[in-house]
Amino acid sequence: MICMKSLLFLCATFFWTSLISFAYGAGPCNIYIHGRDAKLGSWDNLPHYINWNSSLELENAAEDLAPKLVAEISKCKKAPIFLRTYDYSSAVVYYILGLGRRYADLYPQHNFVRIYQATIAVYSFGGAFSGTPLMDYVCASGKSKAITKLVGEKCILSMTTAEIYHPSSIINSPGVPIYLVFGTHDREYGEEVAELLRGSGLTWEERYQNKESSRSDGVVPLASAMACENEVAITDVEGECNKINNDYFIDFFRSDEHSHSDLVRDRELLRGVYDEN
Amino acid sequence: MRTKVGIALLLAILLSIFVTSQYTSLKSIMTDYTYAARERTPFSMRTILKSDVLGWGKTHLESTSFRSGRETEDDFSESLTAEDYQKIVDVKIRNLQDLKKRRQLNKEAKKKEVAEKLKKKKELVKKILAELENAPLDVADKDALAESVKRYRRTSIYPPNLIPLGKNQKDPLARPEGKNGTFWQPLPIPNSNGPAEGESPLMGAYAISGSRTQNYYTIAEEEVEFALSVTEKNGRVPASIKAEVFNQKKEFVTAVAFNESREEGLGYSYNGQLILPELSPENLVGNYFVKVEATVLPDNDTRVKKRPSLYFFDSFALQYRQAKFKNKITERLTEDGDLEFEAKYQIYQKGDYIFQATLYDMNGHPVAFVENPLSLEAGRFMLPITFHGILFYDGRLNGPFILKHLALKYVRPNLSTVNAGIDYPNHQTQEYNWEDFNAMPCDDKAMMSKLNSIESFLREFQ
Repeated sequence: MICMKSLLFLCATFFWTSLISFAYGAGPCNIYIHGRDAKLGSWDNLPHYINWNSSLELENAAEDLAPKLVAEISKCKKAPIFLRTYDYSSAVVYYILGLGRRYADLYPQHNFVRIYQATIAVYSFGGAFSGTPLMDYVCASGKSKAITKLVGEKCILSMTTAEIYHPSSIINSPGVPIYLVFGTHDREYGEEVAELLRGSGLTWEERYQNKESSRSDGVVPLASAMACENEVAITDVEGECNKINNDYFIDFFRSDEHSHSDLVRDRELLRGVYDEN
Repeated sequence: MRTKVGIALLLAILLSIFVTSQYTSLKSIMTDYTYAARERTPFSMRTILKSDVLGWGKTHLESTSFRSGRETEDDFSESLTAEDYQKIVDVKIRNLQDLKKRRQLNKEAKKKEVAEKLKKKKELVKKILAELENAPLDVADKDALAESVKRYRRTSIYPPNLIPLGKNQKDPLARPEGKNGTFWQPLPIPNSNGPAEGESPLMGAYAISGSRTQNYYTIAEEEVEFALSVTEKNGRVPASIKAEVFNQKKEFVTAVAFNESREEGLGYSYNGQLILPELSPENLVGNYFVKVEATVLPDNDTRVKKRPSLYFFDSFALQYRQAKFKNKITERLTEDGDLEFEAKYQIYQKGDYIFQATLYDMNGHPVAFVENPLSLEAGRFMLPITFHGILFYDGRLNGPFILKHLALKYVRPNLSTVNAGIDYPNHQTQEYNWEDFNAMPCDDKAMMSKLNSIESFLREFQ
């Protein structure tokens, strides 16, 4: 009889332990959000992956993404929420969090507020916080196949270098730490692409006279991926970068082996396994 | 006998309480009296009422005043002898000493409370970090959680709507000087003959939006102007310009005609003005972008015969007035020790607004940015905006400060805002010492709830 009771007790303990480990997973709850091109990256079979309409402008994109994100967050039970965002989705998430922080008291039930309150941290992979000259080109002419292949055919004003459309001209603090993961390898350069990107953030005269080049990961200028203030050119990887917000943007992982697309093609990196050697 | 002594004691206590309660009144009366005596002016009824005394002091002096009609020093000394005066002064001194003691005690109690609150937060963070050490998590997750915990602890002493700005941090309401307008970088120009030795095959173009520091314009009050030049190695060259304006839905709105001008030494430049279609302001409000195509005209001095077009774009926003700053600012240090301003605004449209402000030090460095959501009716109001005292206390910041920029933006239902431009009150505050400010750290509930959720996760996880 005693043996039976012990067995039952063991079974119950096993059941609860399994349930708890199922609920909490192996750690924080990682939610993955693709960038401008939904097909780019190794997102398949990730536990929490959000498919959203990334061809919308910032305000509409945020409205499309927010309810999907809230639904996914509710699946995470009590585990801390980590969002893993890529290029354009970094900007959209930054916008959502910032508005959530701003209106937490006025609209406590708003999806943006709920996302802000639940999120513990964001990992931004090659984030387009201040846009890319490649999208300028698409919006202005859209004639280059090489360029539209990189950033899509549709003009997204929030991804251009025009600061009036940037989330950083609307939001000053996300209220949530954003860990910046970025690459410096520029193998995605074509001759035409290179010229467009190298000049980013410098006036033509300066560039012409000083032969300085803005560094990029092949698509997004480093100043954008590193969340520097607008119109700042990073001519050197170690160059000075004043963050949009010093409290919440943190340089977390830099790879000289990864280009923009590599950041999300490398599944280990995407999942948060960083080999620093 | 004992009962009599007891009653006498009780009466004495009651009397002393009564005298203490009259301290302020007496102080005020004495100040007025001394002033009147010094100035040799009549201690009139008006002066007594101005002193706002209550109870015994008022009745006594009022009756004195009514008796004589025109009070003088001699009249007053009739009612208060030198002995009375000495007694009052003694009471005053005693009470002042008591007050000083009480203030000191209050200050110490508050300091203790602050220290305890900070200690509690520190302990919570220490506990979480210790639990993290032992948690069976990936190293990267541990690192991120630990860093988040530290950041939350640091920022949770400020209210969520306050952003402290460092020397090198940008004021969110100002664009850096010399960065007016947007820049676009060039495409390489295919040169049929190839570049000559030492010659760059590139040319460039950039657009600037005049001397404005923002790209926000008010309909019917401001004109949108564009300035443009196309630059080659030898300076600004002649070009044909085609510019089209599109709205946020990327629909064509209008075209901009550019006028050419040539200045000795500077070369060619082009200026254009936006002529808006005749639509109601509501239909014109929004963000716009201008698609510009610039084609360099053939030049006899260069070997390049065929020129490709350069494409680039500028952006701007149009809005109509929903609110207007009426150039009036007041300031005060609140009882809690927070720095509060009130700015006078005329509100034309009822609704939700976000009210933003930046504070600078006297060296011209931004100190903090604060924003405050408000629900407003149409009308004229003094709108409050508060900088929590912990900002100054924690940073050991002494005043005066300058309230440099203000912005009142209308909030749409989807929480996006209408950019309504920036106001420049440039209001200089009084002098303040950092110790005058509120030392009590703010309780950012969202931050604390995040810290607690991390803690409970770790507890249950282990």
